[in-house]
Amino acid sequence: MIDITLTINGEKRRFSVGAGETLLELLRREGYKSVKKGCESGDCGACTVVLNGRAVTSCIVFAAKADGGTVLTAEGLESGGVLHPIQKAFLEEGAVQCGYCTPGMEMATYDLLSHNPDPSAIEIKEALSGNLCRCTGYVKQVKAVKTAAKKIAGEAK
Amino acid sequence: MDKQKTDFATVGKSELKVDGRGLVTGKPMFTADIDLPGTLHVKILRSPHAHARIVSIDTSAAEAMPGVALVLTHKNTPSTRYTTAGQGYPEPSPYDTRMFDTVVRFVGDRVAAVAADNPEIAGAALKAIVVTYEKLPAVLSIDESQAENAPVVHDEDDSTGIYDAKRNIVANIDILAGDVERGFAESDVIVETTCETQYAQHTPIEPHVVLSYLAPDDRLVLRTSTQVPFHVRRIVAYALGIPVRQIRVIKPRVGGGFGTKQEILLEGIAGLITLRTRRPTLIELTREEEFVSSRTRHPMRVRVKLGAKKDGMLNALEMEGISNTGAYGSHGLTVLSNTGSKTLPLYNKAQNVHFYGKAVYTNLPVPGAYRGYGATQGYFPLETAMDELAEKLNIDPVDLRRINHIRAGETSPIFVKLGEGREGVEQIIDSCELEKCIDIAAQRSGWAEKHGKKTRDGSWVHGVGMSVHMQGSGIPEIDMGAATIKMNEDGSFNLLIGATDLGTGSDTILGQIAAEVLGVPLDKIIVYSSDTDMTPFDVGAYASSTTYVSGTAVKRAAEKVREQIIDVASEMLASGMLASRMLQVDRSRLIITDKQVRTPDGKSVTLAKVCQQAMYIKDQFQIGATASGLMHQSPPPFMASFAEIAVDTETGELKILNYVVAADCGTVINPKMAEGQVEGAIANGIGYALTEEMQLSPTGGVRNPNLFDYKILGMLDMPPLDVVLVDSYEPTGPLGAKSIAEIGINAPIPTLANAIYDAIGVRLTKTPFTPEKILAALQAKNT
Amino acid sequence: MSRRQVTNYLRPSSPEEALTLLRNGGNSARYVGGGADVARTLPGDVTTLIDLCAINLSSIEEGADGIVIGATATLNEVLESESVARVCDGVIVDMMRKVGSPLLRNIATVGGTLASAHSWSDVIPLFLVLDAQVTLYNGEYRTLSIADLYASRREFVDSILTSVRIPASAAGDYAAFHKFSRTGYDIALLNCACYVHVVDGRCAQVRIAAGGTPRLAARLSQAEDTLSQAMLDNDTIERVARVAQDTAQTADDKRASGEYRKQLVYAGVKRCLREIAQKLEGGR
Ligand SMILES: Cc1cc2nc3c(=O)[nH]c(=O)nc-3n(C[C@H](O)[C@H](O)[C@H](O)COP(=O)(O)OP(=O)(O)OC[C@H]3O[C@@H](n4cnc5c(N)ncnc54)[C@H](O)[C@@H]3O)c2cc1C
Ligand code: FES
Ligand code: FES
Repeated sequence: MIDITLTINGEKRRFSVGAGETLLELLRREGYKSVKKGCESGDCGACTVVLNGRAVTSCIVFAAKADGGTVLTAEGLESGGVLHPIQKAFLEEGAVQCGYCTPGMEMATYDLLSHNPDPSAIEIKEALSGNLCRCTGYVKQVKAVKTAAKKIAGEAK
Repeated sequence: MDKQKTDFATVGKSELKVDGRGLVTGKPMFTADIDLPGTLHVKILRSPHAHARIVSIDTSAAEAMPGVALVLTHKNTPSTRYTTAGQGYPEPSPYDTRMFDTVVRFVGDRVAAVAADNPEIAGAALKAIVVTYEKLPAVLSIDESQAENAPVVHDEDDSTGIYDAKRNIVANIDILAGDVERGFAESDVIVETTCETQYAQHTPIEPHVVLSYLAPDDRLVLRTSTQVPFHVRRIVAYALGIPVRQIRVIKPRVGGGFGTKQEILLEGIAGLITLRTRRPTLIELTREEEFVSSRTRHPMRVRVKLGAKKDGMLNALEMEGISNTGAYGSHGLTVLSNTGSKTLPLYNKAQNVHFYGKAVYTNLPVPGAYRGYGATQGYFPLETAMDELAEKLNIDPVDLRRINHIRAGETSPIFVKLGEGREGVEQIIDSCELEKCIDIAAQRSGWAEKHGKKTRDGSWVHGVGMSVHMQGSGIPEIDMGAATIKMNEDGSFNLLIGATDLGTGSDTILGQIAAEVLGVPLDKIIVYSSDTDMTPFDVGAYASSTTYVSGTAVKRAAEKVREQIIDVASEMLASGMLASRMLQVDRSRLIITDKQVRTPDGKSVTLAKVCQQAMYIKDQFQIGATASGLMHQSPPPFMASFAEIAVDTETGELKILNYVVAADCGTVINPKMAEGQVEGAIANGIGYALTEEMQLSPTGGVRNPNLFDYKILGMLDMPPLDVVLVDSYEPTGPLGAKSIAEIGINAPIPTLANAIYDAIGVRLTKTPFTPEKILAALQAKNT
Repeated sequence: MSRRQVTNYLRPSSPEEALTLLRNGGNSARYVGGGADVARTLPGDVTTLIDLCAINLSSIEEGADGIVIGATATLNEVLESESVARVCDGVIVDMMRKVGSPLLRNIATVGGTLASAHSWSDVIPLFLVLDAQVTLYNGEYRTLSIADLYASRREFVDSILTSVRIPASAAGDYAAFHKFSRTGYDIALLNCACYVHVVDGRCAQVRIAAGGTPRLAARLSQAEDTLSQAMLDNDTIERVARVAQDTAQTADDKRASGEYRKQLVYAGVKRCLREIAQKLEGGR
């Protein structure tokens, strides 16, 4: 076992991890259940978290690799009972059906909007292209990302 | 009495999902999101052979491994045969499955299960199990299955409900209305086409998963990702030989189902392990196991023959289907019957109709229920043949549909002759806006300007295609769902429903129906669903039944509760008035609106006060009621589907430039959710039409059991999609509603096949329409 | 997948240290770049992982003779690099946008991508035609062309790929990349990359490659010869594409047939050359 330190959703924590353990396994085992498991091979995006500012599929990242880093999960978007604009937008636009892909989509959106506050439709589709959803047909998710961008811009004013 | 549509307060509004907040914040709402101390993890050993007898199986080394709690095989599990199909009782599927059998019948069939302290130990122990197989000859296609002297897939004598086991026939259907021979003889034009559909999978993003544990009272709790909690309880009780009362099934949030979770695959195994070890037990399928061992769509070969008069009126309609049910007969009969029953009534002008076919065993992966449920496979040849017929008759394909499709006030002989695995029920269509759907979608897609034009853009040729569809809303006189509503003293209500929300939003929609009837906003309805201890019965989420059947139950329960509220309120309102005017409070003129009961002359009492009165003040009782929904009809939703595509004549690549659908689902209870159902179904249908295929090896294994190689659509693949919900009102439905969840998946295959023909003049009859196939067909045509 | 077999996760801070660790670990040790491939398909005999990312190898630097990309730079860092965007009018950016999804590109490194040498890699055919040079370390540093690197895969026994250099674009340099896949998020059924250096309207230097054939990307020398010294007109493009189609070595796999892949070589080369021809025209 290896000792690592991670700042998860703003909280600095120490963990003892297996050398071959993935970040997905660690996060779920430590109670971050928003991080979903859909394939464990990097194909579906359900396990997406933001690691050091960038969205990654946590199932193909070794936990030990993340040592010293910062992780943001969907649990960390909400603050003080107030939904993050991204979460609000997904909810209001009807972008959530079963919701299994939703946390991953939100984290990919978070990365996108923090680097590109006003993305075009094609930029949205490219940014979320690795997040598979079997329920929605994606129409409302593209809209939700646009709405989230507007909400964030509005808040910044 | 129903209100006028325009009066609806919450119905018709895109209310937010009642479970949405938890979902967007990633709360632990799914099956595997809770950790129980001491949980056993299970791995399942699967057959490497398509057909083999287990000669011996030695689990001693596995059992001896530290951390292994239990190993299950055919030797220490019940030998009861049951069906994994989560259907109403008695299930119209054969009892041909054992929890662990002595014969394995497809690559991936289960041989043993190991429960251990963690998944790694379980996995290591699997490797320590020594199995000797005697390989048996296997049937690896429909044709092999039906050949003379074909190996028999189910030669055991304790399976029941198989139509003709010796000949590998699970089910046989033959229904006839009128005289097709004469019908064809009297037709001016005849077309015939045969289409084949592939093995494809539901691929919910959450694979099958179950967590079982013992409750403090020693009863077995199955927390499971299922569409059918009550069928899980019944079938597991039967398979394990324990009473139904010993089991509680809880369905938490489900990460998508689409039919595959209408199957009882893991619950029995988990339950048995928990009962034997008294420890919580988790079984999570990996994505590979999901592909290899869960369920698929039934691959089919369906032939359609149409006869019509010169004016385009259909005269005779014949459909013959042969369906591959794989190694077990789950849903074999009913999916095949739906191939006819959900398609043929659409063209009720044909008086002579013949539908026949069989569902056959093979030693291949096991199909089951899948959104569309056989209709998808039937619409491919039917709507392709209609396109061919239009061409032969020189009638616009849109007009040919207009001439022949069913309308309100009409019926079809098929409704009575063919139900789901048995006779159907008579039904007259009360609501049908298909005509309007066709008009709207044709206009928005630019059909008139684009059809037959073959516009070129370099090596790309444009084409347009269309098709029309119907489905059903529940299984009439079989599906039943119930609802309980009880009132709380703050004027809120608990809505307890057996109905199963698997992401479709049914908790919200059923809440909206209750809120509408009770005159309160949706946030006054606390929805709790799918817990066999706490909620009344419901067959579950399948057959597009929830809004129509369970919704009716909710509406009835709400109406009963409303009556009780009015009883109490009228007394309260009266007693507050002069004695002489007491008699003047006319119950029938009281209305509930905006959380108040009001008299026409402006007196009112709040719902909270009403409940407090009933609970604490006078003649105390719980305001509450339970009601059931059992329907005598299955009113079809209708849909018109149009697409514009471009095909590259050099590579066969296909781009969908625009996709338009217009649908009639009766009253739209929640527009965003209804649109979402259509969008998701179309996306899934496009994937099925173009890219999705489980590839099988020559020995029957799945060659692409992962999302790296089995390609479902991603965000980049979605074409512009224009969904129009056409206003209609179904008088038999709750507040005018019918269904919407399944119908859309039927559309893309025929719509795109017809568009391909329009563009490049070739008819593709085998899905998926890969660029390679399109190019090959084009080259074959040109030589 | 059993991950508990892995007992060591090491983070050396220099190539020397990494090499020593690998040599000590023998067959059961593996380098880790982003770790996407290693985590996805962890070989059963691996017990030691040697993460190269603590070595300072992730810079992207533009020098006189080209852009040097450190082996542990992620694919997205490459995609977002302004100097990379200047290579042949953004051709590397165009290609990178088609590699997996951003979720993968934020993990995968350039070194891991070149070392894993997937036959369907999108990076390799383009880097082949751009004539990229890689630097390897196995006790000493060596630099060789990508073509030589794959000519003998033995290079990777224990070498660390430390960087890759893309030659700076000069006036007259043009390149294009085309990928065929089943969906927008998929590996290539086949991909093509073309580079030409145009002098006075004629193709003075030509490199054409196809990958996912389904073998590792390779140059199509006869097609290159056909184009060499010619003008990029429609007839020439057609001829070159046909030669590419006829001479490309393709085969069947579960994704596509060899025959169909030949057709894709034709279309892919044609689309690349058309794109270049358009740029040429635009440039005039
Ligand atoms: C879901 C998914 C989709 C993908 N889609 C595409 C696609 O569309 N197009 C495409 O081209 N590729 C695609 N790939 C492949 C992807 O590009 C590679 O998996 C990735 O580039 C590997 O990079 P890595 O840094 O994570 O490698 P690692 O997993 O770290 O390493 C891969 C191999 O290289 C060795 N290695 C790593 N770094 C070095 C080094 N510096 N020196 C020597 N050896 C080293 C490792 O020991 C290992 O054997 C996809 C992969 C996944 C998982
Ligand atoms: S679980 Fe990580 S990508 Fe699917
Ligand atoms: S909402 Fe179900 S997978 Fe996306």
